[in-house]
Amino acid sequence: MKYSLTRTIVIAVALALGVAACGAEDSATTTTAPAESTTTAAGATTTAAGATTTAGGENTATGDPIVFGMIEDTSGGASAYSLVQSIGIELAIDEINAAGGILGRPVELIRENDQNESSQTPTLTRRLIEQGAHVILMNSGSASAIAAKPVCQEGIVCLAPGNVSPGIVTPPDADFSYTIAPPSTAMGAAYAGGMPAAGVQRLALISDDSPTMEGFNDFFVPIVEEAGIEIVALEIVPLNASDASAQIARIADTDPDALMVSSLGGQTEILMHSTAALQMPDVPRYTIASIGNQPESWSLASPGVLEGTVFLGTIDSTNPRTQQLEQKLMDRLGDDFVATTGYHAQGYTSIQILKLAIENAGGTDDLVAINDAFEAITDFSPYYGQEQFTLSFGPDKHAGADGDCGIVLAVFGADNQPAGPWDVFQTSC
Amino acid sequence: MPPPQLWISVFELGCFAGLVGLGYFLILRGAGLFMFALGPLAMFSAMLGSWLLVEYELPLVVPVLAGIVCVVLFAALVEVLIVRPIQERAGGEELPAIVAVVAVLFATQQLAGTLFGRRPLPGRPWITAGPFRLGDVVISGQAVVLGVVTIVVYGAMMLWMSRSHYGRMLRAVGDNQRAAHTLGLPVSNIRIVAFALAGGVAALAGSLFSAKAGVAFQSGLSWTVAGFLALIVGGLGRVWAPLVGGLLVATMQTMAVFYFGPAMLNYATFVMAFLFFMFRPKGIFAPRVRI
Repeated sequence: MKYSLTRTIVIAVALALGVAACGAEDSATTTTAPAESTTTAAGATTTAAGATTTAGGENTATGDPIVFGMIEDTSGGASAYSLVQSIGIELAIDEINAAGGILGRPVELIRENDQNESSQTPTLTRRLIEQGAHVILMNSGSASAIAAKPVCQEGIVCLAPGNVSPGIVTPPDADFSYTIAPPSTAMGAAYAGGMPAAGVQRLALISDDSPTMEGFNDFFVPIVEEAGIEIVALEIVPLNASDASAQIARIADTDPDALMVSSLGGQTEILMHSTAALQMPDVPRYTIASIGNQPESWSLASPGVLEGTVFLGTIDSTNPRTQQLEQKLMDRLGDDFVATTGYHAQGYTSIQILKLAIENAGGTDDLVAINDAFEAITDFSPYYGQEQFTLSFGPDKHAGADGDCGIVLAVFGADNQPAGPWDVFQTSC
Repeated sequence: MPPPQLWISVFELGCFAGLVGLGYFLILRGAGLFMFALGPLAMFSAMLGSWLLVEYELPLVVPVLAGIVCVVLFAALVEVLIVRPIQERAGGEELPAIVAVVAVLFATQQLAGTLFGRRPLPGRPWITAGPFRLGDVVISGQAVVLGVVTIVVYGAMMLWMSRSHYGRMLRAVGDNQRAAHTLGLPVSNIRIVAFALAGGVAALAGSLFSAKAGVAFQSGLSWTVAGFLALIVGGLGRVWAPLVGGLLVATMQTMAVFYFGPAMLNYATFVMAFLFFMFRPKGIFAPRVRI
């Protein structure tokens, strides 16, 4: 059989280079289509008269829409939580529109998908602004939110509902950027208190290779080291890797007291947990806020893989506002409802805070006034965290969390679902 | 000495790559073409099965079979509707067909993402037994199933190619298609059988391997490269050569990460591929010509 092996090898090498280049990128991406762009309103259509109906059919808002632009990730490394946050965001917007909108004006959501490629985020953010966005939701990775800062600095409020990197709100170019999730420093503080309480002295860390996690680890490691915990290993697993056995074997060689899994979540994190459960079943595992807030990812793990894993959650089932939100989510999602997660709640809360800022600013004519109004918000009660947890902002405070009680340390049960708060340690307000 | 547990990973990765590599082998022998779309076909089968399982809660055997049957038909259609017409129009030149196959690769990925969503779907172990502990080594039930299925599939293929009518004809077509055509062998049918069988093997591999950590629509590209490397390293001289190649590549990749860290994975893979392309392009078990 004649065939040109040389030509085929050339194509194969080019293919392999493409795969390796994608694998060396900081996130899981497709290698085909460029960043997608959709401009549909969330659950809304615009009638000829300019009024906007919601998915539920209620319509009391009229006039020019207030446009919320959103950078999201529907297919990359951050999609595991971005899509969950979108549910909370869309729920809030539909509710607001059903109740008459903001200042009588409907809210319209326009979206751009950066696939967690932070190099694309500034361009896509500008596209949203050109399409009339009055505020921007940064619903992708922390690296994306950081990359967009210079664009936001030109004068538009950018709120990251679920990102935790302190880099989003520290200068330069941070005058218009905000976060509401408990920051990574607070997460570090939670484990700096919790791990010693559990007797952990030697901690191994396994992380994916996304820039978001690299940034998180840079903050997290010094905090736990300062608490007297020795980091005995730091292993990296590429996003969308097929195997993590070698990394877990290297970690097992260091005989740690516990293993910390630091990942965006999704398939890669499940692989790490599955491999660790197989090779190091007696070593307790901890993880950050990702997998604990991604119900879609729980089913990726074989039964029992996540049992006993402690994660940084933000849901306290005794918080009445969380209970309210849970009912709304159950009504909206029906049989698809699995659990209320911090991502749902942070997405929902982000819209409520933006609504408040726009109302206090008197509208959207002056985007800088929206920023000033945002900075003036204090003691806002969000839909996550412990009941006493509040969000406050100021000219020098763009990370909204007041104290550490936005964090709830929780533990997975044998069914790979959150089983309740961790009984060893909890943060306090 | 590396930890014994690592050899279980090598075995799992090697069996998976070996199965996809077997698919490459069948199509290369039957149609003279590198079927780069096999990875996405494996992914498509896994995603279809998982989607059926999640949406309709069917017994596992139904979604698995549905995925395999669908991909077998898909692969046969690729040959009939895309590869053969393009090769005929190109006067036997293989480059246009290869380009078309690469297009099928990307199209299949996007189709899977559109049909089944862009988030990973869970795989399901075929058996609930396990994991099994042998000394310091822990073997999951799915690893056992993957190994058994690999051995059965390879054994079946070896028997089929040496003893069955169509199997011998496939070897004849693979040796010299023009001569086979002249002798009146049903070359068109043999090509379809090669594509269908390869699709079935890849579909099986995808369904088995997806139990490790789920499957996403982007998984196909890396699976394609895994199978291709298994074939290049193993060679075309024996039916079981891709399995040997897959195990060797898996060994190199796993040990490179263990001894030198994860950053070495891509470099080690490239070096291995480069060395074989340059110095042993026909693989370890090269086809021998009888004179």
